[in-house]
Amino acid sequence: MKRMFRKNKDRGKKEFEELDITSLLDILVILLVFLLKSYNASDLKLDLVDSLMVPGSKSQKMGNHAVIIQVNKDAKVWLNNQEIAEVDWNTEKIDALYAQLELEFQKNKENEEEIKKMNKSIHSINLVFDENIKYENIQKVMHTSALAGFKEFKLIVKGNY
Amino acid sequence: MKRRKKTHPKLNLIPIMDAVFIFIFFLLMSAQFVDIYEIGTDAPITTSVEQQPDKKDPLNLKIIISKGKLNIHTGLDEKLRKSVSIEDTISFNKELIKIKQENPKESSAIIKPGKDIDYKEIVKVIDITKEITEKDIYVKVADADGKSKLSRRLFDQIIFETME
Repeated sequence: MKRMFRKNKDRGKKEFEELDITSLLDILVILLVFLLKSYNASDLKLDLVDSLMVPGSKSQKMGNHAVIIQVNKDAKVWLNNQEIAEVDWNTEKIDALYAQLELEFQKNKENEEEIKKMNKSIHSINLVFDENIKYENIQKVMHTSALAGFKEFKLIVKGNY
Repeated sequence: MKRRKKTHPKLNLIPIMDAVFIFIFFLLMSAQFVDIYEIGTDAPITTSVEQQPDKKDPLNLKIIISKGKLNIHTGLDEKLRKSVSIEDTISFNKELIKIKQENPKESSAIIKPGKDIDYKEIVKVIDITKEITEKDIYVKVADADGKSKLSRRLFDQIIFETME
């Protein structure tokens, strides 16, 4: 009886065993290595709009932050992730896009010194086209961009092709 | 007198784990799982300017992309140099290597795609125009100081021509 009592008393005093976190640490290290490997130093952050397939390329030149135009396979146009409504593809110059681009170029001009300090150009524009879009549409977007002041086109492509 | 048993203090991993967790979240937030790169091009040529006659004929390399065909033109008179199938990327690249060997100082190419050409085809042609595709082949190019060096670069200044 006495023995039993002592047993119960010991059970009450039992300390919690320490959690073995070795396996968790292993996973974390693997995750860290994977993330470090996929880390991209480019300051271009691109949120692709729906149903846009970027073509693959062998290019290894990192993209830079600039105004972004995206055109998906249905020829819908986005400027900095804002959809441009009523795009008329029948004219050489896309008026709806031009009006927005002009505003963006004005903003760039106002911040010209800051942009130049970062070794960037106020004339740069990132163009993201769907891989199946026809050159006819690409040409119109380029023409409109050039008219608004964006003359340095950066065609955005998918790497490791 | 009893000698105390020496106990090794356990390493406190909590701060380092905190730091690793924060680092992982930072990396997760900034990670882009699709590798995005850029191809730099210049504004399309929209006007023609009368040029002064040069001592040497400029290369004026022009690649016309039409449905299923690639036509390579050179010279001021835009003489057709070679026509290859769009699938025959090896012959196309070999011809560009020959042109580069003949003109080591030239680095620009004008691309003129047809209106009905898909963007992915244009990107493919640009890739082949910019660099040698086959392994272990180099061409002599002239750098900014005029010194020649070996390189895999062909014509990396791409200009789109839109003039009809």
